Amino acid sequence: MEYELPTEFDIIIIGTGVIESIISAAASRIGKRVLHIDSNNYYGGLWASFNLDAIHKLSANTEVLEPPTDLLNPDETTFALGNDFFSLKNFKTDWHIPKAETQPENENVEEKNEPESEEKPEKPMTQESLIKDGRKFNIDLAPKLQFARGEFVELLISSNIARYSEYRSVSRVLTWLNGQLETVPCSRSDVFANNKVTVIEKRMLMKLFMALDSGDQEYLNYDNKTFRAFLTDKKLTPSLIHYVLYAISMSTDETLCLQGIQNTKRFLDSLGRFGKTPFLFSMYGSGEITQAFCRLSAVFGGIYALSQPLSSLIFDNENNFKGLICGKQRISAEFLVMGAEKAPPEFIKSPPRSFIARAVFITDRSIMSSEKEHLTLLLYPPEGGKNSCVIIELGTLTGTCPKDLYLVHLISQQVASPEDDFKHCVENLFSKFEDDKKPKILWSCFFSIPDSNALDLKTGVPGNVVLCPGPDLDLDYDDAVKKAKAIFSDLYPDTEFLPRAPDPEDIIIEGDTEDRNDEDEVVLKPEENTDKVAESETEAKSDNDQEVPKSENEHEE
Amino acid sequence: MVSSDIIKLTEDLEKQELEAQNGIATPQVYEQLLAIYLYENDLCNAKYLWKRIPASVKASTPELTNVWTVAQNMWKRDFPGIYKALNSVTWSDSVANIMKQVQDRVRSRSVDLIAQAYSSITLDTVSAMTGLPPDICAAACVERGWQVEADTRMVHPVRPISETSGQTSSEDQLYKLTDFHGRIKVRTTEEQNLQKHKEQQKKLTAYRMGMKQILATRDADSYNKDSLALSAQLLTINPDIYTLWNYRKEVVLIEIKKSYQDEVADDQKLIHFFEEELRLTEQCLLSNPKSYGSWHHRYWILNHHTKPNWQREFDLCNKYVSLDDRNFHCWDFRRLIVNKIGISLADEIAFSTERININFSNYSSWHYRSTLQILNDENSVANDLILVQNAVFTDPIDTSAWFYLRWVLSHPGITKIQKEDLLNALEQLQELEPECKWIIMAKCWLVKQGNLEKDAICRLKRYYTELIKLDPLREGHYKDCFKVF
Repeated sequence: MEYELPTEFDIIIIGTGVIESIISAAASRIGKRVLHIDSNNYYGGLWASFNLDAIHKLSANTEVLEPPTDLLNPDETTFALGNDFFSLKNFKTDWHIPKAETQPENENVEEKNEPESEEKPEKPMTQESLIKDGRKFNIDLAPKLQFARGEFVELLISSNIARYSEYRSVSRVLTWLNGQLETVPCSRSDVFANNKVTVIEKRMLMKLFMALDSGDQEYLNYDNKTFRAFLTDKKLTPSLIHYVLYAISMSTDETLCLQGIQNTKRFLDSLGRFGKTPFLFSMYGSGEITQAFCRLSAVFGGIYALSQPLSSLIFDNENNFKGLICGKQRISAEFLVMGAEKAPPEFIKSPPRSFIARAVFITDRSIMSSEKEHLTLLLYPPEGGKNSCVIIELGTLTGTCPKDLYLVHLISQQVASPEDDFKHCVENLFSKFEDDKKPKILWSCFFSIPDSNALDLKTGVPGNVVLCPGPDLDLDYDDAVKKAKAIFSDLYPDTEFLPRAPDPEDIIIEGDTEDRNDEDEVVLKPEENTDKVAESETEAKSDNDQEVPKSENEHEE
Repeated sequence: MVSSDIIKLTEDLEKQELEAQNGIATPQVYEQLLAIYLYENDLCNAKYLWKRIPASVKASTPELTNVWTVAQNMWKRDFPGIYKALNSVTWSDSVANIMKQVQDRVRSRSVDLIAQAYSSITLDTVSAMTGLPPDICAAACVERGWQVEADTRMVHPVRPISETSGQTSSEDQLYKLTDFHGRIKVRTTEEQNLQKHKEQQKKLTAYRMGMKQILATRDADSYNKDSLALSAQLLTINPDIYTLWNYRKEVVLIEIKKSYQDEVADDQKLIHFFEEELRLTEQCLLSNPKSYGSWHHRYWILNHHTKPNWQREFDLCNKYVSLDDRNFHCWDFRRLIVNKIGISLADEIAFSTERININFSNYSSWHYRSTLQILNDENSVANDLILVQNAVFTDPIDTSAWFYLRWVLSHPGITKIQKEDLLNALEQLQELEPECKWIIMAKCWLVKQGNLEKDAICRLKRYYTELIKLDPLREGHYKDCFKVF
């Protein structure tokens, strides 16, 4: 399709990762003319979510386009966009279930070897049956949870972006203790109801929580000591230390006391706001998050263009960014913000040294079965030289996988390779066979995400260009929010970062005042009317008027 | 009609309605007001008005129902329905003019909507949305400069340029707003306050007139249907008017009596009557979940009901408790219902444990547990001792569990060994929490139950001295407690 983009902007943002999208929304919100552009045909970059079909087609290569030169002034130079430093590495997907059987008569020999299969009259799962439901999967590259009182959630609320997305609270936090899965007592009611913890332990744990909550400063004496030492001195039993150290504070044996205390406080502060645990998960995958911010940006006038043939950036002889070349168009702007993975290789001074090891499994049951479906966070402690792992198990209620299946995400700091780093978790939690208890892995996917967060993304980058790091190892988005905020206030000092977007019903449009008397209701109709429908439906309930077509039973279920 | 005329007429009619004798205005006023709300596309007010109109007026003025049919179709945005309702009747002089204008407005709005939303649309759809026959419709489209393809019967509307027509989406508005920064006008609190005050005044007047009307028609042997309907409206707004609940009970009794006297014995009619009462209490509980009157009325009705559905009540009550587990009315109600339907004790204990696990700082759930009379054997006593110990160890300052412990201790089935174990546990807890007076209190309860020998008296004396030190404000109370020995 032939189309033309406008050619003058205040700011161009390349890439639709979380940080880029937050900046886009913030700039658009204060009235800047924003062009948000991505060479991918999907939102989210390295933070995106894919269905089962799309993730198989993920290709890591970045193609470099030859830019037309007739769009340049004589003193201008160009840098070709795109680098290979930050694309996914070690990408590998595998099926662990057979393809649909096509020649049943040849299978006689095998059938004899599998007496168990006769017990199951239902049809065994095949690759085809999963692919058929492939669109019901939303597989995150960078799955994240949010602390209920973390900076990210506060931003969602204060900026009114929360209404563009839905959340589900994590319903249990587990850990791996003495060779089995245990529920971590997080809240007061958890401590009370947990039958693996003795009454004395209950008191010790509650006492620690209360002391931290009331701002007890005892930990200041542990300046250079570890959090483990602090907990040991508190006379906590080994299993309590495990819960607090590896799960609640998500620390390691080396974590310093102050850090451990801060982490624990953060966890406790977020309790009791939404649901039973401190964490929220965004429905339909973490990829939704970037789109929520993009939506706000678009509502306030930002222009969006995906699958764009971006070829190069234009700089003048003083190395200032002037614009970019997209297809046959030259588009200019004052500032350029882009994801590090989109940057010209010349801008990247050092390639990433650390990687996030990732694995995604589709399984046939939960790692810890129970009556109702859980959204589980499993904090797997460091074990035998391996780093600690964050494991998130999502059921169908999260809108990320079909019914009766589970999607399991594993995240860790990479040591050797994703497959090697998760080997012990996989062995302990899953089964390759039709075990009666442990879940079986039906499909697996391993990859590494280069961690650009510790890198210097400023040196050698022109003054009016900002590079944004990709996904980090954190469980949540708070660090991404902080980074986006910092970049935004560098670009536009003394402006407010994402002030609350007004609710449509509170807006009176200037210029409508003369004919407001008869037009007012109509002008605001779309939103107002739905509100009032809801209101008057409840109103109408007491009467036996038949005018409301809705059934009343809804309220009685 | 110019818009200012309309406003004046609206105000005039609203005033007439408010000041009408007995709160019932003339059918003409209702009719015109309803029609005007439709003209203004103010469907919410139209709906409220419809509900205010007494049934007798509705019955005597069939045209009102005709106007309302138009409103219903507008609510559903059923365009063909609107035109049908508008044109299938001949309007009387009092509303004919307004109804004609309603049609014009609806048509012009749908034309705007089409122009805004469609780049191509079938002629039949346009015709349905404007209520014009296809040929006239096609001509009208051409007149507006829209292109009409005769062979495919497709219309290509022209999007109005920068015309601030009514049907824009909220996002379009926000987009527009970004053009003039800092000029977003948000409703101020003063405006909101004024509006609130106005609404309150309206409510007050309605209340006064309603009460006058109801009390005037109150009678032991018969009742006035309008008054009954009116009382429902008033209760929905304020469910704490006991007089009105009593009035309704009287009416129910009249209905029951009538049903007995009726030889035909039309049970269905009476059941329907009960169900309506239940529905009313439900509505009232939505506006105030802690209204004594509504809860009592509901139970009273169920007790008089010829076919009460206790299971439904039970499910409803479950839902209610899960939404607000501190509403003691729900707990009371559950107790009443459980007696009616005979839930097994084990189920109720499981329910109670579940609620306590969710939140053990809740007097209502502990108290409910105590009413279940579950301490019927040694095993259950042991279980409850564990439960209550879990609670006091998790949070020794929370009083609810301590009171439950005192109740458990009062049970005769509790063994000596259990008491000793508990005492040991309490000693351990006290080591951890030396400041907590409840632990010592519990120790006192335990010791007092045992053999009151010299040794026990000594211990009690020590405990009470500690208590006085910890809690000097209640010194006198503790001294009194000890004096007995």
